[in-house]
Amino acid sequence: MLDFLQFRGPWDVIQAGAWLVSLLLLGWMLWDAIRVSQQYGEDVLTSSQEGVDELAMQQDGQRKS
Amino acid sequence: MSDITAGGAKPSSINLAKVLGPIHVWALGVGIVLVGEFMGWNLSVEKGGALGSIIACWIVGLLYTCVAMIDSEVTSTVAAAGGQYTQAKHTTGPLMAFNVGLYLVLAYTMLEAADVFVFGDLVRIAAEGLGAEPGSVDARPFVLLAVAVLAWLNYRGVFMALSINFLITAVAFASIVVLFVAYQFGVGTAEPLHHQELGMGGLPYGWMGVLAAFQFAIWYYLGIEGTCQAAEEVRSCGRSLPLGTMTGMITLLIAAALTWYVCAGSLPWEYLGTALAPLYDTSRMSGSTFLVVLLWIGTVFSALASANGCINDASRAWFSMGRDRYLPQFFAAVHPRYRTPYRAIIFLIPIAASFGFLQLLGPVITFSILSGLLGYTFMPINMFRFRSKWPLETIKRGYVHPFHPIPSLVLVTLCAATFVAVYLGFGTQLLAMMVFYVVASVWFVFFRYKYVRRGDQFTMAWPRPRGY
Amino acid sequence: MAVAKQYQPPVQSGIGQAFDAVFILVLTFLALWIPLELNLAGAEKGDWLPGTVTVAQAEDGSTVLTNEAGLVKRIDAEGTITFENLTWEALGQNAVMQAQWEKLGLGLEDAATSITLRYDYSFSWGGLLATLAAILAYFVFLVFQSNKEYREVIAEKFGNGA
Repeated sequence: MLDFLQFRGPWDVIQAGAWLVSLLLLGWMLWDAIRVSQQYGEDVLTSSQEGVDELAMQQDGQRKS
Repeated sequence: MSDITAGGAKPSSINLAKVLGPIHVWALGVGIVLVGEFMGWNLSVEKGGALGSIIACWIVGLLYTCVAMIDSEVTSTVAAAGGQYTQAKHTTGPLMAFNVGLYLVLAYTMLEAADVFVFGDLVRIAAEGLGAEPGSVDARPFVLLAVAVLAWLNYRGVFMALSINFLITAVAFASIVVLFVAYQFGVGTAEPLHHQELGMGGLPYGWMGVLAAFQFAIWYYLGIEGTCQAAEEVRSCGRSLPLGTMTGMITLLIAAALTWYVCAGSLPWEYLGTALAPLYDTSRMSGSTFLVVLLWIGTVFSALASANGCINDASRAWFSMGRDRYLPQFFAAVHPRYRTPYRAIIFLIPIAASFGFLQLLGPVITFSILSGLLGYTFMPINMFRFRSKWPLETIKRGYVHPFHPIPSLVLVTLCAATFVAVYLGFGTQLLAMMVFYVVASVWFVFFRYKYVRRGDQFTMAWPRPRGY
Repeated sequence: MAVAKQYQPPVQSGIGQAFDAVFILVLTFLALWIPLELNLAGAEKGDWLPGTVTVAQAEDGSTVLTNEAGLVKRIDAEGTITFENLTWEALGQNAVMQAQWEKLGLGLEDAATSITLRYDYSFSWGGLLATLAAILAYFVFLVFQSNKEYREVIAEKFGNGA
């Protein structure tokens, strides 16, 4: 079916491609994470709160008392 | 209050995106677990024979039903990322919560490592099947590729990540159904099933083997409880979460039964017990190229779906612990654009990738199973404390499970039996891994808890617990 | 009891955060490596034959298993396995089983290697009880310590009294 793959060459190319794509994606995530840390303050980034949903918001007044 | 304000102004509060529906919950739960039907469950056949495996499958199914009942009741009132971790924080206390959080992160990260390891191996097998020289293809670049692509998907947003999970999980599930139909009704294969002739009726190890099989019967379901992790990102959580979890559990029961039925009917149990990919092997027996290709795709997709779900769940648990400062606060960051716990996702990549690289599949699986089992042992404690601190009339529950102390008592008993099975299988390894949790607990009490705000951990709008 | 004061945690430095993250990471690696290094292997399968088996230790260091059907499994000092009088019948395999093994591409010798290994589930009660006791003690410690911390959380959240 895939007879053209029946020698070692193509798999070396595919492996190299896999290494390359992985490193590009990992590199992009790191770059993006660093960029975001520079653009936003730590207080903003870590501002999420647990239990912020409809249920909790309904009872918000009660919670804040 | 969680929206990014218009006009480019800096947002005041960034929360996880609330975008998921019931199909995503199903995809998360089933996606993580379904790989267990393609590989792993069959080790229970090695432990107790084919009949022993299905008996263990049913009994462990009862264990998970108890877990699901307890989880549904507590989660229907605790809707937050972190799932059982957040439950533990509210019902039992900080140290228990820290341990439960670690169980979650390690159970999922180790399962993810096993998934990508299997993915790499399947690519290698396919390459050699297509004529590459044996030994010339290295699995590692494919292991890393799987981790990188899935982490990237998770980084870019939970909606896309779990929508893709829905698709590939559905394909993997369909491949099991197609294989069953092909064998049962003779479509595309003339190969019959031979349950009787393959000695299915016997227990080669007697009832001791059935008990020992509990250890790997866990793989039929391990991870379904992870649907709770999505609670903070699900729209109308009270409805979607139980719906997605219940349909997920039904899917798994069907998949487990079909898988066992076709595999036990076509492979000798001594082979089945040690096979890497039993469903794929069963398709090879059919003599149909279509089935072989379909089951290869199903196996690959299930491994990817599982790894994807594990990245999601492990990062949510890690993120939640960072938010409470059980772990460094650094990990509590939410990406302002993609609304994902991006630092937790990145941090867990090297752990999963390195264990996927190393030939440590045995200990990795042990750690995953043991962490899961410790988590289930916590559930009855959770339930008893939840009911006694907040009796039914004091807070409104989305769901109240029937026969109260019975599911918890059954669960304790079955967990104890499974610990015996794990002891039979792993012996002293079990204790060595317990040492990890003990050391981590001591570290938490003496060096970590001082950074935690006390009253702020309790975030639910509940009245004061009874007796405190 | 005194009025509950709001506990103000110290702010952790970046280096401290990095250290804590690395600590957990190292601990995880150790937990996986130590069992391997100490050779704390789990259950391993032993040699087995269908029917009644007699085991003999030969002078050259090899182990010989023989069953009443005359099937012999010999494991020499280097661990090389040889069979004598090997047939599908002697392995307890019927025609269907034989056909399935062959369809998997496994011959008589390959099948025999898989079939003649079995787990031994005998265990020491002492070891089992010690393990279960250790797990129980761990949970008791968790619940006890958590409860102490929990009281503090509730006191700060809801105030004392009530």
